[in-house]
Amino acid sequence: MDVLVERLVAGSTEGAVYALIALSLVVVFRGTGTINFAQGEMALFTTFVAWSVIARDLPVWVALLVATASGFVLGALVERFLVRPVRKRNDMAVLIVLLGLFTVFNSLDGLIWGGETKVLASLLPNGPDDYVALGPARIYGDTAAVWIGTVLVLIALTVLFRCTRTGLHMRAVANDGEAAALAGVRVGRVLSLSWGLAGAIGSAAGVLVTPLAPAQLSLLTMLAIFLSAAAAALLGGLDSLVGAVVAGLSIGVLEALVIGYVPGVGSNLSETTVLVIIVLVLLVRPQGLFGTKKLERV
Amino acid sequence: MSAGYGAADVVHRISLDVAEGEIAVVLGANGAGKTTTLRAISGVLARSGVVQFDGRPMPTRPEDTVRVGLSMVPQGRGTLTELTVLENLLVGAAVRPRHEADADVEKWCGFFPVLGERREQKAGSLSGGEQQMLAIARALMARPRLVLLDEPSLGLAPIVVQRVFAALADINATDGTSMLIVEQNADLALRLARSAHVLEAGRLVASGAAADFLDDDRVRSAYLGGR
Amino acid sequence: MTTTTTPPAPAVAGAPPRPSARRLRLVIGSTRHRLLVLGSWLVVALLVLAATGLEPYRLGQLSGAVVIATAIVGLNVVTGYTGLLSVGHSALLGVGAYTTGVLVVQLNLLPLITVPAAVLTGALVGAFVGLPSIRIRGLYLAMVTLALAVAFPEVLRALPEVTGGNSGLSIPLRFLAPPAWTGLTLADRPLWTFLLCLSALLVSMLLVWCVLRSRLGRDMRAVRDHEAAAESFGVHVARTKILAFTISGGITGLAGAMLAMYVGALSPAGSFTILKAIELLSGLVLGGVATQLGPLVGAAVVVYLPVLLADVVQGQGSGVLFGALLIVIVFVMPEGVVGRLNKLWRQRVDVVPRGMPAPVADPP
Repeated sequence: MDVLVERLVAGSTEGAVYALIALSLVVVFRGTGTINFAQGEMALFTTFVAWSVIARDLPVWVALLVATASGFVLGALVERFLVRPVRKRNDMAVLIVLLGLFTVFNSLDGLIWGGETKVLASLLPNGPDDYVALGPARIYGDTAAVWIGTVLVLIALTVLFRCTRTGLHMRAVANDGEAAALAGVRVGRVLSLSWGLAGAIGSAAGVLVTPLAPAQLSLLTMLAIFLSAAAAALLGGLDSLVGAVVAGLSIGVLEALVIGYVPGVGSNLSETTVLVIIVLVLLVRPQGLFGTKKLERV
Repeated sequence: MSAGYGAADVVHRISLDVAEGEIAVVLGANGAGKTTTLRAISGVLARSGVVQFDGRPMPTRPEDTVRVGLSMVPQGRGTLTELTVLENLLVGAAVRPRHEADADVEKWCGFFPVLGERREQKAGSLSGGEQQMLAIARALMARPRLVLLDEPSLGLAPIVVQRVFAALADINATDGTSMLIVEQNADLALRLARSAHVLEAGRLVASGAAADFLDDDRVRSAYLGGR
Repeated sequence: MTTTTTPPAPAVAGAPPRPSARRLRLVIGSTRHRLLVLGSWLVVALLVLAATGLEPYRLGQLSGAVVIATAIVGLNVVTGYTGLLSVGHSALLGVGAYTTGVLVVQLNLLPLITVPAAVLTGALVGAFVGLPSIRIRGLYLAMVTLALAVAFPEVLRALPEVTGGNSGLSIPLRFLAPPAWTGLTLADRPLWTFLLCLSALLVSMLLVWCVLRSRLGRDMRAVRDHEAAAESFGVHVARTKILAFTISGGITGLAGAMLAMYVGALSPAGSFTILKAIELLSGLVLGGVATQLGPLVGAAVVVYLPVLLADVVQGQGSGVLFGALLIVIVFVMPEGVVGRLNKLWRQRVDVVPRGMPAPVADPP
């Protein structure tokens, strides 16, 4: 029983992170119909930026702010100048550009900050005594930060999409770009905004999750997280925000349970498990759990 | 004006004119270039030549043509199917200040009562006729001075077509909104319009008063597949 | 109030033909054509001969480039000619390499004997990877293959008894020496390895050349250019895709076996991560997608550019440069180096079969 509660807490924390990155993938997909393969590495880059800010003795929340802002700018710039010009050409061009970005950011991190693993401070107090007991499980500051962060991002996104004009325009563009343009929505601006928003969410997720990540802050931190998040986005249905959250949490909990109860497979083959999930989703239910049927994936 | 897809022009050097407050209709067979003409004017398609609006050059992107006072109702409705009726109307008011938008929503929900009743319903769940009315209302939310309509009768039952055309006539009469309508349903369109143009294989082959076309059996048999 | 008018008719001339227009005519089978073909092969032979005289270190480097070229030739079959995006070829390369490595280290087989096995496992795994491509396309297939690339090293680590786990395998030097019948000594190992790798490359290119001229080659390109149309013309799309992946996997597996013999040591973190998959794709795009010589140029660039730049930028710096180069090439030369050269060649030279009438001079 204790193991179960402990695994559930760990799994949903991990899942919350997947959900955040999956949300950023969904926001991008709804706008441009593209899977941003460089999302994880862009988030890693801004997380390193956050580390630099903290290294200058500034508080963690300032670092979070800086990382989020730079993630926004980065995302918007990438959409405007790198993705938009080639998007209409073909999938291959988009893929190559994004893989180019993947390589650039990963190598840039190594070039600027070096290959050795770094420790990123947690946003909330994270000492041995800074925990809240939840039954037998203890929720430390780093875990709480991830949970609170996810909830806040979800609320912010819901408000944006449901209650603001900009959010309405984003949904209109996601639904039908040409019809939105005919109504006067500035589609280009909306797309840059979507990528910026996704970049910001990814960056925030990076800063929140790194204190918890097994690899801490290193060049490999985001690869596994991105993969699980991509699986979550696919499972949820690439155009569904709710789906991203539900699927992210499910995959996180599933992974945690497998690690806790299936010796040998769990921690050693987590990425293989994710591969299997991705293949199964795409083969069995390509529109995901909550996606719309119109997704032409097969 | 010329326009087309890729290298080949679909419409060649056509020239037509819509007077303030009038309804003009463009007739022609399938593939004559009617839709291409409208899409080029509204900026969805690239074009060459001159398109003027109020003596000024017409912008070349759809989001800008809306801002100078031109709205288009594309073929196949062009409603945002995942959004509710109310949200569709609000998107239509993207170029207007907010307080106007709320007033206009009331105005058009009053004018098309079915829309008022289905405010919170997704546009995709409406019937064809209701979607067409929503598309028209959405276009009017931008308070345009000229509306381009691409085959508003397409796929609708005759009785519904009658209703849509009556609404168009009403709007034109009360608000003075000019309209350029592309139609295959020639009879009905000619009765509604004041002037008419006929496209054949991408070229403008006849222009004149709509009434003349209705009366002229020769024109009807030549261009409209007369009966 | 709206006037849509025509400008006073500007004389619209169709795009005039390029004034250069002094095109060279090359008749297939003519003496000139034969001389050209013969000359090209002579240059290739001389280059190979010159290469064998390189100092061992340089020769080893060249072998590395040849191995990468072979892998890109394999990737080209699915991604270039069949239009299926794969970010997972690092795993296929790894399958081939580990087949050779495991058979040599665990069963003490001679490396040469393991080559068919590496080709076979590569082809089998390739076919298996191809299965999802029947239903999954475009960026989604890229996602699946990317997941494969990320998961592959993990699988290697999870089977330490077979693969040596994290520390990997190292093939004892005695297995890598040239066999006695060649008359070469252990000191000639770089030369032996180079000749092996070169043969593998030539065999692969020949195979692709044949495939492209076969019905399968036509089907592959039909599937790439318009899948629905291909299907309606009777192309068996699923079979074509699987076959393309099988051939691609076999060639890439062969490249893996060569890699194992050239490097002699294998580890999960070494040559089989996602970065290797990106490197292969980069080479393909740089050299020219769906061109037969593109993989050679691409491999030369991805192997030698970091070496050439080693004085300017080190380690991670070359990664930054590579990524940037990759993006730039998509914008300025999407057809790649060889694609561009082909285009220029076609603009200047007409290659026609024998018996075609000379073109009538253009009317003034």
